[in-house]
Amino acid sequence: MKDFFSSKKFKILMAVAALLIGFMIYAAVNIDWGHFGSDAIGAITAPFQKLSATISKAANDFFDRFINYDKYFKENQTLRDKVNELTGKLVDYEELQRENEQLREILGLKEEHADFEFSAPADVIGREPNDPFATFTIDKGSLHGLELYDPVITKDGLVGWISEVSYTSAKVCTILNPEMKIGCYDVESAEIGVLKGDPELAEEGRVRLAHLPRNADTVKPGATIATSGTSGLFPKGLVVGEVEQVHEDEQGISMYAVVKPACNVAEINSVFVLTDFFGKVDYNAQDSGEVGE
Amino acid sequence: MSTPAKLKWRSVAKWGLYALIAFVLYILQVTPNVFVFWGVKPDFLLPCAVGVALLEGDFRGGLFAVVCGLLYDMAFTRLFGFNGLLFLTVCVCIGLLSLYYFRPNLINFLLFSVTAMLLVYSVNFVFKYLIWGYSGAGMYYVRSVLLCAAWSLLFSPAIYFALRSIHRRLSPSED
Repeated sequence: MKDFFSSKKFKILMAVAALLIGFMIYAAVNIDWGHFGSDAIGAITAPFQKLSATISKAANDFFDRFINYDKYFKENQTLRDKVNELTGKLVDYEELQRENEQLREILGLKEEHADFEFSAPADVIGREPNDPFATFTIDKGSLHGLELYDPVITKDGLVGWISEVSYTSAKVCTILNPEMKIGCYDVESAEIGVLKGDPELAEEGRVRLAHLPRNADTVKPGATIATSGTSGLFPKGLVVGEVEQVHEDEQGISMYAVVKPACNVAEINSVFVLTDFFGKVDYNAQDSGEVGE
Repeated sequence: MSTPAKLKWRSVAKWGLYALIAFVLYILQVTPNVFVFWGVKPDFLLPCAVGVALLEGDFRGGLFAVVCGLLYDMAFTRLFGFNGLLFLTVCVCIGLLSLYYFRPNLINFLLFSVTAMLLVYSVNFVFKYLIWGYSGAGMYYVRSVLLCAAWSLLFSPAIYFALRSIHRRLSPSED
């Protein structure tokens, strides 16, 4: 080992050590100088550091899944519960909003017709496929006070009546159906006729106001048609639609009008059921067989 | 029989690979969150310098240690040359000891590594913390010296085997 201290190698190493001490002293005096080496090496190593950091992050993320599995699982469960709760709230909110709109409509109708008694707003929950008369099912039934032949309406006007009623749902026969025969009148001319479904007109979502007198030239397109309320099945003055055309009927005995219903019965989503009104006749209590005007 | 040109090429390749390992370890050293355990990151450069000193002897090992020490200084914003000098001193001693008293093997490498780490970290600790009278120096010593040395020791064998493999394949004596 003695040879080492007297060797050329030792002298070189001592020179290197002296150089390092010189660096230290110079770096201590000139603070910025020490950064020169860091800056130079930093420029070279930066891309590799970035790559290394990317790889390490990927590796950390990978192992993190296993290490913190329980934590993430619990967190996931909590978040799922929260999402479910919020989704439930959102559904409730939308339901309430729709109900609110429906109740506003009821309020409007109530102001117009003080004698009307409404069921809770009913949503359309089903439609008969390919039915030209747009028969549909609502989510309210006898449990909600609905009875057979109760009029079904919207804020725009008459839709139909309850043709079948079960405990929690009911089927609605619309005014497009030929089974429906409703006594109506022209609000402007006061001419009376019978509104009934017509298979041909039903295709276009229209109904026929038949049995108008031959001289009923006072019924003009654009006239408003409303229920006459003579049968006690529908209240008087319920808007049904608007006259589009007036024609002579096939036998040439009377005239008829093509009426565009006030509401598009094939597309409505919610309705009200009139459970009571002034002058209502309870057809359920009677065994009359034929129901209509 | 190796020609002088082949020997030279092997030597260049060997030191090139040593340098590459040091570079990769430097990258790992400065990359955030790599192998961090309990908030302590292992040291890769000092075991690398120790390994080269053990395998290559005092002179070459010492010069390589200077490079590693300077990288260390750059990585940790310390007084430039401080760790270069420390690494040089420690690794020249290790090189001399390996030349005269200790065979290069894993056990000796681990012993030298632990000793070198405790020495270098302790000196750093003295100049960085102790002389300034900072509070919580004891806790810092445990974390930055003892835990770091222990954690670094776990990675050291891999570094040693990589260096030894290069040394065995490319040293002229092994030809």
